[in-house]
Parts: sequence; structure tokens; C-alpha cells
Amino acid sequence: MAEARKRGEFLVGAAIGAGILGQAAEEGGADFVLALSAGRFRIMGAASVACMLPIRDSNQFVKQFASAELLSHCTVPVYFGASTLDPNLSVEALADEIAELGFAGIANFPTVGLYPAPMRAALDAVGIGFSKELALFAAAHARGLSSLAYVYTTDQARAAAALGVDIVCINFGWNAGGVKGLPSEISVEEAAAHSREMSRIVVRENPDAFFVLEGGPIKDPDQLATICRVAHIHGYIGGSTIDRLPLAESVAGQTQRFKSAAVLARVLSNEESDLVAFGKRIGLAGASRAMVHVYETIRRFSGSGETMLVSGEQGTGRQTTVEALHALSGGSPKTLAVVHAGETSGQQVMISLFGRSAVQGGGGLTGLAERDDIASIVLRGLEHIPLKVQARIAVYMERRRFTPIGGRRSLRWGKRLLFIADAPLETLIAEGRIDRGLAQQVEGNEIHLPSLRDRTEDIGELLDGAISRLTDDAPTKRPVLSPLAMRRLRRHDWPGNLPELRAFAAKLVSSHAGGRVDEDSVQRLMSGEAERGRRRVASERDIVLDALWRHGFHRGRTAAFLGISRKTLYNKIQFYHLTGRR
Amino acid sequence: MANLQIPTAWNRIVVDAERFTSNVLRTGDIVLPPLRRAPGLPAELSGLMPSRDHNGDLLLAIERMSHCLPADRPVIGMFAADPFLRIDQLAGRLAQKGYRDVANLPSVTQYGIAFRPVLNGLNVGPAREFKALDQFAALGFAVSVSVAHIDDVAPALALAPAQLFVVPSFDLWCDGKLDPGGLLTLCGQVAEHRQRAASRAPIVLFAGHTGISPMQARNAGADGIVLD
Repeated sequence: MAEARKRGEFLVGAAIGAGILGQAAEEGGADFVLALSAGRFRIMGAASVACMLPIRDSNQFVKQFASAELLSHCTVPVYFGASTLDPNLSVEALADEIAELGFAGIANFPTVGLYPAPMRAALDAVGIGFSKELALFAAAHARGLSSLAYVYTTDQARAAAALGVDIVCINFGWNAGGVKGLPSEISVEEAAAHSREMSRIVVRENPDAFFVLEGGPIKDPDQLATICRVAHIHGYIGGSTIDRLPLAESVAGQTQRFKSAAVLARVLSNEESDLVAFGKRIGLAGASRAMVHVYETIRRFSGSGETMLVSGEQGTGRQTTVEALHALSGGSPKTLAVVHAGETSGQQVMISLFGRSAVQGGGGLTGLAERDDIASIVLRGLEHIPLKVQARIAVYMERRRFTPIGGRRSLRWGKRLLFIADAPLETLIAEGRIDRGLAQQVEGNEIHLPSLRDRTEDIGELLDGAISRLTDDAPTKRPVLSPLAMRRLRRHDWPGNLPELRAFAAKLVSSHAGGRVDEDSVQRLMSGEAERGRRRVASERDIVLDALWRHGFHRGRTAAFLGISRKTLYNKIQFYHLTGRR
Repeated sequence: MANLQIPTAWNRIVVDAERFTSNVLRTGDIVLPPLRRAPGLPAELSGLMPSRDHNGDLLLAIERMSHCLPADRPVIGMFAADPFLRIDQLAGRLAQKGYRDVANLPSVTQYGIAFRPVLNGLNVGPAREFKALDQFAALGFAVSVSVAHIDDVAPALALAPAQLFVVPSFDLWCDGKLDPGGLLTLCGQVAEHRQRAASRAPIVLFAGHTGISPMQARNAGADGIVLD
């Protein structure tokens, strides 16, 4: 590692808990591996924080898996994550054992630094605090072992560097992100400010020490790069970022790909692919079983001229379907009329459909049923039409003749009626929202459009289609969704169906043009939260931090920019803890 | 008249799996596996360190424990926030031996209030403990609930506890030792809450080596006391 540093290489350590991960990290270029109880707990399905609980004897736990799985498989140095939180522990005996087993070094993990301040004070007072961890490092050095100190405060960093610890790692707390991560307590910008100050302290105390980072808001290499631009750091240690986050993502992704493969195979193995192509031609999308059934029904009724009921929630494509039915019967868009029953009274529906005779007092009105330029009539909101009006329509349909309101002469009925309802026929009947006679006439002639949550396998294709339409002129602006992000979308209820999905696609394109979209980003967009990374400059603390950033942490220029003295700026940096945790 | 009586002394019984436990456990005993105690730190706080497997050791200890007599109700202290705790397994072993009383002891609430959001956020916090106790109650166990902060009293009372254990937390650490005044204040607050909730659950104060006397505990509303 010392040679790597001389060459100016950036060190990467993998804090992990299983042999396969050690091998994979080494293959990726890891310079060293840390065998930590937290890593093992992650592999077992718990959160890293489980390593702080009385659920295993930490040192025995690490010894068991690390000896068997890491020492035998890794060629890079392996550090032993040792806890001094056992009051009966002899650091000398532990260091002996670690050296004997063949570990290259010792790290203080889990460390008292991860506990809250009152607890740290108590543990210090009873002799199992940070001072005992320092004693363990001294014992490690005496046995020719390397040392890696996790530090949280400037005092700890100073003490570790002064003792001659080889690697000083500032830990920003539990890693953010994923299902077993917490929101970070600090931002990337704050982490950068802390790192800069801590690195100064470490280098001042021990110029030969490596200064590395881990945890907190650093979830990906871009965020690490942001910190590297400001602070002089020699490397990074990845725990959850190297195993939990990518592992969960890739396992979930691969599983989903297999599931998708099965769906595609089903479509391609039958004539259903032909139906899917038919669906696309009439303006519907999706290859799910439910949608294939829809296409099949539409095709069966195309050209039939029969009365139809198209049911489904709003936004499922009902209007597109009735337009397709009309078009497939040879009708042009101009010969399709729509009556919105939900927005008008039963009387108005009757007048719109059948007209009104002039003898009623006012002027006469010609109903749609009488107009020669209309071939099909769409009645939206069937369930809103009063039952007696529905019954009258049913009678006219059966007799193939109708009488305008107030008229005496019956006329021939020759139009096709296409009903749209929010619920399937079965539900309308059960809830008494449809006339029995009308129900009999449309029975067997129903096309039920599934809601989006009932055909989640189509969400990927539908979203792709929506994004493609929005980025037609610039394909590079298309965001790429991770498998877990897609899983999150599939779990959403989509109460607004297709319009909601299209609105989501628009938000996605505007906030993540050309970028990768993870599960957290989807969650935030769904909940309408502000875009990631957008810093709000509100409090004085934010203003000072923002100014430091703008001026590359140059205190003189920052003070001049803020219109305050260097001393005042220094005091504010201390007051707001922009130099590291107390 | 109960508050004029000297609080009942409860006993912390540490059962080591390595040694055969011939003594019959009695009502008023609180049974725990070895806690690896740090000198100067109360036993239950020492037991929170990641240097032991509380529930694993407890299962081994149960194998060594004699059968519980029907008239006796010793309380078994488990670490209820353990993400690997198999409630069915532990409940089954306890029931086989005739034990019917459990408590969340030590409790994650004892780490202190600042650690709570982290633990709850990662599903190993007080909420998980209360859920585990609720599951034991559903299996027919009587649950005693440890409370280390006033915020824990309402959810504890909602479990209709057999006892309320008032336990110290690291938040009560002051000037190199546990603050007895803070512990007594907490006990008094718990007693007030209990009264408002019309609960009759006895309060047992874990006084440790704070120097709290049984009379002080009584004045703070405790019905029982655990001394070192």
C-alpha cells in the first residue's frame, strides 16, 4: 500500500463479511479488505447497525468467518475488525491471536465512536472507550501489525495519528440508501468540509498516515469525487456501498430479468405477438396476459356493429378502445359522437340521444340517433345515467326504434351504441347501477381494460414509450432506471393509471435527463419531494457552508465574500461544526 | 396502603450455560444469561455491548435450567430487538420448561435517546422490542416491559404489562457515574403515568449500585427494587 501511495494511487478498501465478496472486491482492484461484523450481518440480512447490539460476540464472530473465508481467499492485506467493548478483553491477548491467525492488521470495529456522546463518555469512564481502542493499536504495532482507526471526532483523529496509526478513516455514520439504509445526517458538502479539516489534523500529526473516508452520504463514486475535489484524501473504504447496495440491486435486477424473460417467452410462443402488434396499431400498449385478452376481444368485435360496454378505471385507455371499435367498423372519426352522462342529467342524455319534438313548447332538437352524419355514439359514464333512462334506452335498442322526447312518431334506430363505465358489468349489476334489460343487451359484449396495477409487467414498456416520446429529439437524454427503481414502480398503485405514468415520465426526464435513476430517486419523485442534490440556502449555517464551497474553502476569500473577518468566519465554522463532529 | 410498604426486593439471577443450575427459580427472580459486566457500569448497561449473544446464551441457559414450578413466576430477560430472534423457538423452549414470564431486558431503550432514531430507522429499535413483546403476549406469556425513558411508558402500558421495569439508560450518566436523582425522577414519572392510565402493573426499579435506598425507591413510586 505504501508503494501504491508513492505512485499517487487512490486506495480502496472493502469492508465486507463473506469470502465471495472479498474475492470480487480484490478482482475490482481493492487494495485491502476489512473483515467486519457489520459486513457479515449485512450478508445475513440485517442492517449494519446490528453489529452494535448484544447479538454476537463480535471478535469471535469475525474470527470465525474471516479465518475461514477471507484469509484463505484474499491475497491483499486483510484487517481484523476488533471490538474492545468487552470489559474482560485483554488487548494484548487479542493482538496475539490476530497476528497468529495471519491478519495483516487491526481495525477498531465496532467502535465506541458509533455510539451517542453520553454513552461514549460512560464507556470512557469505565475503561472500554476509545482509549482502549488506542491501546489495541499500540499492541498491534508491537506485533508488527498494521492499524486502521475509525474516527469520528477531531480529538480521536489527532490521537490516532499521534499514535502512529497507519490508516485513519473518518466515518460519517451508517451508509444512506437502499432498503436497509438511513437518510444521512450530513450532506456530501458537509462531509467534504469535515474531511478537509480532519485531513489537515491527521497530516499535521503524522505525515505518513493515510487518510481515508467511509459511510454517511457517500453512496456512489460521483459523491466521493465531489469530496475529493475539496479535501486531500488518500482513499475510500466501502461497506454497504460495496456489498449491500450493489448486491441487492444486482440480485433483484437479475431475478426480475428472469421473470421478464418468462413473460416475453409466453408472448412470443403464441399468436399473441400478433395480437400485441394489433394492439399497438389501434393505440394500446402492453404485452401482459390481460392486455392480450383485450386485443383479442376488440378484434373479435371489429366490424360487428354490436353494442359494446368498455369498462375500466379512468386513464386505462377506454376512449382509445371505443375509437378503435368505431374505426374497425369502418367509421371515420367524424362519425363518432360522445355524450358525457356524468356531466349532465338523465333528461339531457335522452335529448342528446333522441332529440326533442318542437311541440314541447321550445324549439325542436335533433338527437344523435336521428343524424345521418353519425355512425356510433359513445355514452361515457353509464353508471351515472338514471335507471329509468337506462331502461328506456334498452327498450329502444331492442325494438330498433325510438321516439324523440314529446314526439309521437317513432323513428328507426340504426346507430351503434358504445358504453363506457368505471366498473365491470358484474359490479354494476351487483351494485344495482345498471338496468337489468340494458345489462342483458350488453352481456357478453364487454371489454374490460385492466388498471395499471393489474398489469405491472407492462410498466417498463409503457414507461419506455412515454420517455421515448418525450426525448424523441435527443435519445441521450433518456434516463436509465435501475432494476430496483423498476421494482418500486411496479409496486406503486398507479391510481391515475396511464396519465399518471406519463406525468411521472415527464418528471423523470426533467430531473434525470441522461442519468441513472435509483430506487430512492423514484421514491422521492413519487412523493413529490425536491430533487436530489438541490441545496437550500436558508440558515446561516447553510450560507457559510455554501460560501466555503464557492471559494474552494479558502477562508480569506470566503470571509471577504461574506463581509466578515477571518476570525468571525473561523468562529462560525467552529460554532456550526463545519470542522468535524465534536 | 401499598405505597407505605418497603418495596419488594427482586433478584437478578445470572444463569451460566456452563454450570448446572440446580436452584429452583422463584417469583421475584429476573433471569439473565451472563452479562460480561464492566466494573463501574450497571449490569444491564454492560449487557448491551456487542461482546455477547444474549439470546443465544439464553437458549443454552434454558437447557440447563430446572423446570419452573407452577406457582412460581420468574421473569426471563431476552434481548427483544435481536433481528435474528426466533420468537417461536424461544417461546417453545420456555413453555416446555414451564416459564411464562418474559421481559425486554436489557433493552435498546437503554442506549439513550440519541441512538433511538438510528435503531428505529433500521428496525432494531424500541418499536421492534414492543412488537416482539406483543407477540409473546399473543402466545400466552405475561410480559414485563423495561422502560428507560418517559416516552416508553405509554407503549409499555398498552401491552398490559405484568410489571414495569424502570431501568437506567446511558442518558443518566453524569460526572463519571449513573445519576440516582435522574433514575428516581424517571421512576416517579412512570408512577404518575401508571396512575393516569389506571394501570396496576407493579413498578420495579433497577437501582444497581446507585446508592438508591429501598425507601427512596418507595417514595418515587416503586413497588419493587433490584439492587446489586
